[in-house]
Amino acid sequence: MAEQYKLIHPSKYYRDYLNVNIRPDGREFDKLRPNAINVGSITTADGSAIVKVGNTNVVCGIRAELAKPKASTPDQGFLVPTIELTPLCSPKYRTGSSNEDAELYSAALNDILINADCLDLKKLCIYKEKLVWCLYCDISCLDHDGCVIDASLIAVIAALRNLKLPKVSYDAEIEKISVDTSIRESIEVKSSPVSTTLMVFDDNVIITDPTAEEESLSSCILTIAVCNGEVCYILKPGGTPFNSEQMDLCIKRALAREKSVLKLLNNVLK
Amino acid sequence: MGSDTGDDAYSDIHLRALNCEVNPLTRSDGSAMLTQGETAVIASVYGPVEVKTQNLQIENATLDVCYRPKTGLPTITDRSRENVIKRICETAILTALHPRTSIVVVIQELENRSGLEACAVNAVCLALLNGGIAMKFTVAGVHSILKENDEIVLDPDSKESINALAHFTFVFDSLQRNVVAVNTQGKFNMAQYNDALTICRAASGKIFEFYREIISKRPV
Amino acid sequence: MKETPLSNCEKAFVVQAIKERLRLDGRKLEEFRPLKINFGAEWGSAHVTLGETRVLAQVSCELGQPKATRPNEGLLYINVELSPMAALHFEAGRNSELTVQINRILERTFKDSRCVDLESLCVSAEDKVWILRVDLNVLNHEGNIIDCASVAALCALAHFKHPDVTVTGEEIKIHTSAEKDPIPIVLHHYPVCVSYATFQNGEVAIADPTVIEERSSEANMVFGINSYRELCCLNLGGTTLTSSNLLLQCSSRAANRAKQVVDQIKAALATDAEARSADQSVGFTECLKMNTINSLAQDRLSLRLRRFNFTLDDDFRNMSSNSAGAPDIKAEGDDSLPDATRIDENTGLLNSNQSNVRWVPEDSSDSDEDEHIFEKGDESGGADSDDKDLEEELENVAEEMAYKRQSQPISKGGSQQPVKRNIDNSSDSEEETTMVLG
Repeated sequence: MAEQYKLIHPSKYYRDYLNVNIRPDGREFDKLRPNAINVGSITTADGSAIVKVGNTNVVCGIRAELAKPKASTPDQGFLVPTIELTPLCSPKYRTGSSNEDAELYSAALNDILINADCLDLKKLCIYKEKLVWCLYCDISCLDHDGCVIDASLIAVIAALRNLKLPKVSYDAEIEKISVDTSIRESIEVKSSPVSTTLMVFDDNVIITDPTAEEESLSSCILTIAVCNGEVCYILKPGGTPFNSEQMDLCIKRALAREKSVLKLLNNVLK
Repeated sequence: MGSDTGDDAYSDIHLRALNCEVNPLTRSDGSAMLTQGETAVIASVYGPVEVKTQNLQIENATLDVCYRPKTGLPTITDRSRENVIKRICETAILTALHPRTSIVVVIQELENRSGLEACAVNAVCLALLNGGIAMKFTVAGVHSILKENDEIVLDPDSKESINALAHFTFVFDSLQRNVVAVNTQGKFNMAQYNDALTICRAASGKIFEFYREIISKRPV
Repeated sequence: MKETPLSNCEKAFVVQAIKERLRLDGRKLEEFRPLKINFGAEWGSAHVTLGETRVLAQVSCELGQPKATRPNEGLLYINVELSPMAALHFEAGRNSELTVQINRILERTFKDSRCVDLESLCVSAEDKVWILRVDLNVLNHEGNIIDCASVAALCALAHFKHPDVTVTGEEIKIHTSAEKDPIPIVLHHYPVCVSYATFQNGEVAIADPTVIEERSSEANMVFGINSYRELCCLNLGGTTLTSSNLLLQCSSRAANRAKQVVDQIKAALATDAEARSADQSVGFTECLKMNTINSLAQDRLSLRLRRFNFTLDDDFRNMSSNSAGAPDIKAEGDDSLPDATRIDENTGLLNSNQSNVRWVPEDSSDSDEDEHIFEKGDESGGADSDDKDLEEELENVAEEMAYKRQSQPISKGGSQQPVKRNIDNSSDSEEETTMVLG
């Protein structure tokens, strides 16, 4: 009976649960789903990580390529995060045509990485104006059950910390590039931002770490990223207007999450 | 309303000069050209108009927002701006009044001298008012930056915002002055965030006043 | 969204009006709408309005590799964008036929005529050159986008300055504007586009057509022409042939127009430079009608058939006889208004039975004289114009203009009452037509 009720009146079904302060999956409003991280399992990538946030599952592989720097920033490398959402992860996506969600998630991820100052792009420079590293962080979502940004961010950070670049030397005189793959060095990841996605149901209940089902019923979704106890990104694109208390509550929940995720990351990457 | 106390506390709020021309375009149903200091945006609204079948919604009007940068093709940043404005419009417009139709909003950046997103939101709001689209509330975007020594600068020009540690763009509703949308750049702590929020909220009053002043000039 | 089709009666109305040397907005056939130029705070950004048509132009530049065939020349790209802002039926990011056409005409006018000195954009041969990109965003489409866009492009190019660079060995340093003054682009000549739409089997050409005129015309002519009367591009399109006479006449007029426009652009540039050196505020705030709400679009585009009391010929009467608004039309028939200027049913020309009654802007004798300007096959004017060179023709036209100006005061003293006609563009025009005696 519950199945049919959920299908016919999804909002009402949720409201019934939320009225008794519990979510259909048994979590309280501010309770997070369990996370799992696995690093370095993709041998063809220079750095990789697989991250699970509840049922959401993303894979991040970093491909390092040598490139020529931009004329305007001759001593900086590139960090290019791209999120891919295929029909594999959710039936709402189709193959082929450009995917708006994926573009927006990638843009948000890029903003967070820049704001948190994760990587010193100058350290990716091998020879000024001639040769720099370009790190392509390809993130593939295997299962979309909400909070793809959060999972992707953990995956990128884990993969960056797992990344080992081969030694490259450049001879400017004869313009010769020599790569020594036997010596590999990791790069310094200056900070590890952690993001939290929250949503609002019925304009009043704030839920942390929503599933895809919950996201589809939301009246507002916002993403907050924190880094060393400071906020480094807030994106609330419209939706339910918030008063100060609601906003504070969201930020506090985001700040509270940082510690547990960092602990997990540090454990895995030890 | 909590907003009134906010206004009193910050009586010396200084926004850059707001100037606008409402309905500068003849083809659209509503349009507005707004300049805030040297930042300039033009927005136009069509609607409700025929909707493409694949976008048709049975219960609501579909919003079709298009953001045009000044040079080149729309970048990924422009797409996120477009998305934010779309979501804000979805919140503000009474879309349920025009089911099976579409409301088209087009924004053209004219000049970006800091505070572009806020200016775009305000221009869109004026265009919606001019186009006679029914809204739950009007919205006002305010931009501020965080500088060294915890100093918050409201609505800075491009010179002032060069050394900013963080940027905040808030969008408020006209009813409770609650936060409809937030977009931030850079790192900051809770206290700095709350400072910026309070100052921007107080400043939003000026923008709502400006809307009222402009709309009261409507010819009868 | 598809473009709303133009109804037959709308089209017939325009065609008939042109036949009578009338235009819906009260302009003369060869008259252009006013042109307004504003510059943004940034270099190379211009906002141009031609009547109600608006175009925003922005020039940007970046360093890049030159083409292998021309290793010491910079590159110039022109990109026209018709977004739904201009008119609802345009789709953002999709290249329509019109976009391609406009783009190509502008490329021919600016790129192929080599008006920009591309060699001066070279930083180091075969390695680094400046790549210029002109982005033209059409904001409002009220006809003749091409003229407006060409003026906007020229303004933006003339206004633009690219940053200075220093090359030391392999290293290229781009200076900010604070370090070194940016460098303007060198323009060899100043070309603009001038458009005409033709009617009556290619015999009549009207300058600066509006949307409805563009859509009801048979063909269009676009001249890319510079201030030295040199033709850079000529585009003829449409369903009818254009006589060589008309083409020559129009090209001569286009050359005059180009000179005027370029002078206006230069004046605008000088004003902008003055304001900048005096540290006054520059930017788009200047082009706002400060904090005003404009009236509805229809009111701004009303029909302005000034000082023209006319009798309806048969075609007109047939059209209006079944319309509900007919009682509103006060001027009807020769009997009720004996002094009326009337339209000759056979020739479609305007005649007056009273010597001092003049139809402004052109009186009846003018309309005869205009024949040799607008129509081929006219014995007196047409034959002469073959022998005359363009310069003489120009003088002739100037004299006529002077004569017309003299004759205008007479018409003001005429007994005619000015007639204003308003038309609601959005509805069926014929039915809703009303006349107001002012």
